[in-house]
Amino acid sequence: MQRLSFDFPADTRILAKIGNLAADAGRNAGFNDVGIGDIQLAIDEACTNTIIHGLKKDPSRTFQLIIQWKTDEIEILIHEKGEPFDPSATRIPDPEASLEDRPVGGLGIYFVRELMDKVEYRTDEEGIKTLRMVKRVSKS
Amino acid sequence: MELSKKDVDGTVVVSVRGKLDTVAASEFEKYIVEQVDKSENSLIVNMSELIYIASAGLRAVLAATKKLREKQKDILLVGLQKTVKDVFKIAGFLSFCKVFDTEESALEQI
Repeated sequence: MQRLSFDFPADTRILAKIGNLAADAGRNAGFNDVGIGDIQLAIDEACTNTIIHGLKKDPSRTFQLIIQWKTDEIEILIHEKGEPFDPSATRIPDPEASLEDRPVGGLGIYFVRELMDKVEYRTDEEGIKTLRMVKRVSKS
Repeated sequence: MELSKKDVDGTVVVSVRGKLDTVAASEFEKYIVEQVDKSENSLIVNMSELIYIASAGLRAVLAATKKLREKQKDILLVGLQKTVKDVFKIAGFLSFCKVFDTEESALEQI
């Protein structure tokens, strides 16, 4: 298992670097271009939510990003002590909704869930939130 | 991300190239909404050189589309690469976004 760990400031300008790190890790794990694109988009959306909603774009606050991989599998963990978040309280966007019924925004978490194989949120007793997501190389 | 625009017989054609990520999306949204506000016509957005789009980019497309529909106009998207088209598809945006292979075929619909 290969592992990278970073502490990043809550600044959206860091997202491009994170996307590149995820792409390199995905490539090393054996994902094809489509899989790497899915991983990049999922990590971009997840970290965007962490930076904007969890840490309120305050660059003095940080979050920990761990990317670990082995052949055919990548696991991404985001640890952050920011605003409380209850994933069960988020509205799940309806991809069938008409234009008029669509709120502007709210697609980020939906994308993460669609693009990754396993997505878990948890908050420990100290209030540290963890988003864990896993994707495996599709054999089909 | 790079943005440019041209006028073809009164229709604005915006071209967006590169990566439409979270950071770029706010600039993109401002740019296309400005074009919508200035024009009475539908808007064509050429995405043939766009290699990446995040949900914030889709949000910009949705915001512009809602403004256009108030004027009974549309957004016409051109030349979506497979990876970009897949993101539109996952979000269910292909049900209301009109997608064309070329600018010429989009212009014929206006």
